[in-house]
Amino acid sequence: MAENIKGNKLFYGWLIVAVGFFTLFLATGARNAFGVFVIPMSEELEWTRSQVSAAGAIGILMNGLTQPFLGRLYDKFGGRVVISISLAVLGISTMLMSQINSIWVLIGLFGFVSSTALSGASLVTVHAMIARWFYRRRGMALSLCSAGPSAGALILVPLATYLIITANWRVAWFVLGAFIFFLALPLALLIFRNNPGDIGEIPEGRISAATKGNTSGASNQPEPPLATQTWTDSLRSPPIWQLSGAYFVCGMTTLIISFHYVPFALDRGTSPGEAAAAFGLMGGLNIVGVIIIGFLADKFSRKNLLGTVYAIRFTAYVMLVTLPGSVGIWGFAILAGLSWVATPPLTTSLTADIYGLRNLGTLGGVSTFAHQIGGAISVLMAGFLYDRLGAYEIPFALAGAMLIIASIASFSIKERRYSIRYQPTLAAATGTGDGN
Amino acid sequence: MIPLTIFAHHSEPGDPILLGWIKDQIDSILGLGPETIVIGLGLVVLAMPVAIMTVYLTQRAKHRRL
Repeated sequence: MAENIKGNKLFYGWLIVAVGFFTLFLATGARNAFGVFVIPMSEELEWTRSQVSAAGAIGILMNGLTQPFLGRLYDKFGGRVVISISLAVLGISTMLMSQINSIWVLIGLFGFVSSTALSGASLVTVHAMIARWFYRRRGMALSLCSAGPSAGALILVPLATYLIITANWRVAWFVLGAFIFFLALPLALLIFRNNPGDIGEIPEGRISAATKGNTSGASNQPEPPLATQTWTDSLRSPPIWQLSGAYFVCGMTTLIISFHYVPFALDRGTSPGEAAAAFGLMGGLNIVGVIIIGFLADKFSRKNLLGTVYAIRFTAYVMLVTLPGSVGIWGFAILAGLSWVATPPLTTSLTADIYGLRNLGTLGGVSTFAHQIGGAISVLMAGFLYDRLGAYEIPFALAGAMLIIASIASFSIKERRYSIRYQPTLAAATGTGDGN
Repeated sequence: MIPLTIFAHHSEPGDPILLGWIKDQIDSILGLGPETIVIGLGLVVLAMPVAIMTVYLTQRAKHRRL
């Protein structure tokens, strides 16, 4: 049970995790539902698919570009303020999507406003807050929260679809926005706390003696050897480059599939129903995979787990490219599904373990920026090569091959040297640091 | 090119064609009317904050008694 200075009640950090999960469930889940609006909005407002797609593409770009800035704001003002304001803006802008009549308003609202707001209520900020509450079980806490976007997609995408059927797309946007504004925002305001010290708690897994008489927050906790005063300090050490470089490849190998999976499956002769079933299995395995990783991340070396996850995804790509027909599609769905969402909690926990908590929002934003840039490059590369080669095997093989580099980069992180888990005083007191 | 994906990490919207297939799968498996599915999924969403608030208030009440 988590260490707690208030007796045997539930550690408050788990409530933070629950609200973090719900925040990501609604914010990212509603965002993922954009696809179901493309056809009804295009038909009613007589837009082309390209116009609507442009809004979506701008949204992806803006979300990637603004992650480091929102992460910086998190580090300055704390998660409660940044995440709450972001949820308010995201909720209002999503509700206002119900009033859209112009493509420019769609681009402005979805492409710029809600995409920027989403950066403030994202894995980056929520993870950074949770990392302040957990040390020994940080991996599990971050992983539970990371399941939020996948669970949100599984629930909110069908909900939006059926709302459009039973009412119309305007009602569906309003309902999604109302969920964010009236459900997630009040919970965030009521329950989120930036630091355990704000309510007289100590972080889970921390040593009481180390914080005796001192409950004012994470900045007063023991710090790892590479703890940074400014976020730019981290750029002078290898781990941030290794983590961000691997995360760049993570973006390459997730977004390329997201954009080109359907045409690839059709090219392989897979039926639409089978492709949907394989993709559904993949979504369910996302959640299974991230929970398993959370359990393992608190017991074993996190860099080894991260390297293994990238290696598993590489194997999935090999199956996709080399195995014929639906065998490759199903094999990929199983292995890639298990690895899909396992990377964010491992990347965040390693960043926190190595660089400390002071600039974790900014550093998480930098890694996520790299992730989104990698994704954009791979999507464009795949389209370019498909137009010239008439097949997806080459771009998929190139993206898959990059996973070898990501895996090596992860395995080669000097976790024992830099991570606070392996510093003698904390490791001995908390029982962590084994299994490297 | 249409922005796709429902299972990415961050902000990518879902493919409308794929989502249409998934809807057909749900229809064929569950065999329920769209209104029933909306109510069911809506209740799933509402159950989460209710559960969180219940735990929060229970813990707060217990803590005050300690």
